[in-house]
Amino acid sequence: MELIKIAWRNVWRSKTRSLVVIAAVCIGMIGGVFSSALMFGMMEQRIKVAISTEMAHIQIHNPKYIDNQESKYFIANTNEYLSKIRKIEGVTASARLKISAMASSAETATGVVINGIIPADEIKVSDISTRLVAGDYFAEDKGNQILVGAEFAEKLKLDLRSKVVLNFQDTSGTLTGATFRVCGIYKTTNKAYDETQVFVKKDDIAQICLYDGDISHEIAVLIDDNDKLDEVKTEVQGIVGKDNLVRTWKEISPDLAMMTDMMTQYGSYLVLIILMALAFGIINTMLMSILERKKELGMLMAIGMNKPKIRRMIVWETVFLTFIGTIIGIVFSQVLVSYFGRVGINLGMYAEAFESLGYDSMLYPVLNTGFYVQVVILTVVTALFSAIFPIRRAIKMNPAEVLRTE
Amino acid sequence: MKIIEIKDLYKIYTESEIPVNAVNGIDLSFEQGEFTAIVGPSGSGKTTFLNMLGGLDKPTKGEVIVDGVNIGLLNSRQVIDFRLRNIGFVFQAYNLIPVLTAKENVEFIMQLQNQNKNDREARAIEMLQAVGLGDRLNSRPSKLSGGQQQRVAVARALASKPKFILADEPTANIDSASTNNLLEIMQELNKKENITFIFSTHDQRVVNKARRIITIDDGKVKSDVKL
Ligand SMILES: Nc1ncnc2c1ncn2[C@@H]1O[C@H](COP(=O)(O)OP(=O)(O)O)[C@@H](O)[C@H]1O
Ligand SMILES: [Mg+2]
Repeated sequence: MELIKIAWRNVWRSKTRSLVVIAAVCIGMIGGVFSSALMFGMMEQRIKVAISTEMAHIQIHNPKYIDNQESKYFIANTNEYLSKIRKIEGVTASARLKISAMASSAETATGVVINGIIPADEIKVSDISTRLVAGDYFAEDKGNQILVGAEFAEKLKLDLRSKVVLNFQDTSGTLTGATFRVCGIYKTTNKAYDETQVFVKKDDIAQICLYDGDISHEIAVLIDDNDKLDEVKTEVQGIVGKDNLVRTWKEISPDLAMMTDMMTQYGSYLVLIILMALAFGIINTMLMSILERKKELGMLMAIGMNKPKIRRMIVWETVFLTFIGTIIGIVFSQVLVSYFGRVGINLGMYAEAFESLGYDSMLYPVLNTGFYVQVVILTVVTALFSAIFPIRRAIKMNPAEVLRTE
Repeated sequence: MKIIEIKDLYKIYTESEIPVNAVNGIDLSFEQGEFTAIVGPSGSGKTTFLNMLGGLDKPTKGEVIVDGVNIGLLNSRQVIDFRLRNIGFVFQAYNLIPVLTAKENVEFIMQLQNQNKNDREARAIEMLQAVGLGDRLNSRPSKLSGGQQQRVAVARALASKPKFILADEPTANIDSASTNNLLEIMQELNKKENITFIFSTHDQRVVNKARRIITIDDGKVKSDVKL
């Protein structure tokens, strides 16, 4: 107790000097923690969009479809699977026909992926219906409607109610096609997606290709809690059997999954590097303080304060010096993170660049508790590391020598 | 009762080009309850001698036996603990921890000895009253005069219940009124509580208060007078 008290008071003997170090640690912390929060926010948004708009949590395919996206590689018994999967708690699912097609407008033509969906089902697994910038989602009574991405619309010079001709092969390989009318234009934060994915009603496609209603190319499964991912995957695999391939979003997009781990690592490295730089300041301050107190430390050793106690006192001083700044820095970062997490940071001027990479230009920083735990551990390590040199300097002193007054 | 025996003690500093025989063959013994001045001009070897007596420095040759223990044979950890439990120290300056009050400074040594909080506090107050600082318990050293600081150091030395108290020129940095005051307090503690004091000085007024005067020069005992 007493040693901690002495250590605490020792920190404040040289107020300005200590405050400079504390301020440096504080600012360094804010820099490291807040920029990590920006990265995490960016990642989290990207993953959220990827899951809620593009992928859902789990996808089921005919394994051959993965290698070769031809319409003959479909999933049979779709309706049976769907009804069974929907019985799992907290899970919804939607089946899609996915067909590569050539899309042409009056102006030009381009390759595209047709998503043949049942609008009422799709709404439950994908938020594409909330991302419309023009027009409406599918109307029940109208046939051959198409929902296109903003990028795609621009490329083909399409407006609402413009006509698009889609040409594609049916299951037997015969070329077929039909004309669709644009009912809505959507915009996500992923330009590549907006350029390549169009939506039409599954029934319309089935009619053109003479598909029966029980086949699909992709079943998308959305879970209310990402933590249940593996559990649900196992259950779904049980339902669809070995003939169908079941993959989680982490398996479909391993780069995205890896990125989360990488960002956490990267954030920790960033904080570690900042702390290491700060450690020099801390060590310097502590060494100065030890040198100034040479006689006092000599006196303490002379009257009977042993080395472990000297060591403990210096460790506490270093810990205080390091932690005051860290705590203030973390609290301040948390305030910044929760404020900007609410209002967002608009990087509109770089929107083009961000969106072409699939990121939102509106950034909402986030931090998880795990990261804070890591930061605190790193700070402890830094404090202990910074204490080594001052302790060595103090302990190798010979009290008889330093106490001599000449 | 003999509490310290010094046999054939030498300290030769060899770091410099010409070796310095700072203590050059001393044989002495000290009894419980002594009030002894070590006298000699600057550079005569007083500090070196007291440092070896207090286990702060190792003899080049010879033995210092305190209460039957040859302290030259203790390892560095043992010798720190030995000092803590057996020897009280008063230095010329830098005696106190600046961030602690007078009372906390006195308590601190008992804390090092692992005494419990209540005993510590009561004894610290008692010791400070004994040196006439009962009204300055909560003052930090910077708020005390040089003489008062030395009295706190004496109180701290007493608080640890040592076998003897070593004071290397305790009055060198204080004025003559404070010097008289400090010496009177030390004398009183010596008479009433039978506390053993061994102090060095080159101040004749301080020497006059001693009951045994050991004069050293060139690291040798020149005279040893008991009054
Ligand atoms: N570490 C040292 N290295 C070399 N010589 C020293 C050292 N310490 C003290 N001396 C010398 O030893 C002699 C005795 O010094 P000291 O014990 O301090 O005498 P006093 O306390 O009586 O003034 C002096 O000549 C001093 O210069
Ligand atoms: Mg001296």
